[in-house]
Amino acid sequence: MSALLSLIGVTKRYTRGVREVTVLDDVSLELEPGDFACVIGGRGEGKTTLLEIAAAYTRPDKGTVWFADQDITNPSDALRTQLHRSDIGCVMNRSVPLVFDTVLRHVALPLLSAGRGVKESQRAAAGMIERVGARDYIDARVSDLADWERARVALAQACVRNPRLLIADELTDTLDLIERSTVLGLLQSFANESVTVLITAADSHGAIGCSRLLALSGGRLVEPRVSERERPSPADDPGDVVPFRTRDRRLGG
Amino acid sequence: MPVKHAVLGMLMERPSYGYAIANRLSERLGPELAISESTVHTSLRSMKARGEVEVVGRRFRGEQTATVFAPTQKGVDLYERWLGKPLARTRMRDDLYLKFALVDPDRLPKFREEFQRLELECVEEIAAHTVGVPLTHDLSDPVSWRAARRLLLDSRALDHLNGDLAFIRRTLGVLRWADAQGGTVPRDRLLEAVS
Repeated sequence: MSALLSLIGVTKRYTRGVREVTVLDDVSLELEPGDFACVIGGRGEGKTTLLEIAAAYTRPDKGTVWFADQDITNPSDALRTQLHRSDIGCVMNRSVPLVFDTVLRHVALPLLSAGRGVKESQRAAAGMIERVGARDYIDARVSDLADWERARVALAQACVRNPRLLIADELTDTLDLIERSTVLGLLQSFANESVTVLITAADSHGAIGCSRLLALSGGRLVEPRVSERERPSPADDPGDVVPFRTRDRRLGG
Repeated sequence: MPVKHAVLGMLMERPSYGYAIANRLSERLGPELAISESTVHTSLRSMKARGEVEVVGRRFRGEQTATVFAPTQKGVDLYERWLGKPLARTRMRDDLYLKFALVDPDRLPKFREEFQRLELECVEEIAAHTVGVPLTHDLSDPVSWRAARRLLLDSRALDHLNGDLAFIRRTLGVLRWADAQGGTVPRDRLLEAVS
């Protein structure tokens, strides 16, 4: 299967005070359809920069970025707009929901701005709101919602155009265990439908359920060799034991 | 970790044999604390010699025969006493902390290599607890005790691993400077790392 997103030898430097800091140092990454990748790393390690480059928001200083066989390293405004209207859904830290909009209008916004009709947009938005479990507050103002409710709404807005690549920056970091697990379950369900999912998390709790774990450290991307969890199946635990001393004990594996 | 208590715990649930006990422990404890089959067999042999377990049957599987063990009353008492003891946190006095407290600047390059290895090891362990875990977004789905127990153990293991990884990264950040500057570290870099 060919990669949907490829970062090849990507380097990005920033100036912090008097120092120049290399946040991404010759980073390469390939993601295929259905991959659910989580990048973990500490504050200032370059997680957001990596996502911004993958989403064609930021240009790398070195290296190339490909999306579906298209070079998006230095995208024009028109190409960036086209990518985000059709193929890439993003929940970035900076995408603060519109304060006075209702959930329905907020989720429908990307469709409206792409020229779709009001009724059609709201119908599609309502379907996505239902899917992410936000139906109960569909008419509420986004500004009145709790963190975990806003996370679902942001996800619904990013997915309402059925993107091929879904990018989410620290979406679950402020959520409690239950909500984090639920939102990660949603992301996993999108990946199961061949959407490529790329997220970041401050620590490993936000990586539960991903199919690829990556860690950013000192500008380098570390990926463990073994990333398949081994869980013995119940079949490894047989119960057909022949007793020879104690008849009344149920002997098992 | 007290292996014999883990093995006894499995036998308290039902009589069993070495291979199956090792499999059940692996499923129950997760990759971080899994106990090998040979360790289980060694534990069973020594507990049998001390009269804490006894042979109660055999399981036939093709041409192979497995010996099935069950706890004796002495084993049951031992397990109950252990289970009833107050819980204690593990203190931070392992090899890494001791060596780190004693290391001199001459050994920093080697230490940096070791910490890079530890970082990868830590990420591999995190992957073992996170990658491929099936999730649901439907909160109305009931969760079995078996799944709940595994989730709790995973969250405890991840807390521990997050702490280790944060320390390793913090240290690597400082070691890079110490290595480049012959054993000294800019004060602002050190404060940034530990803040």
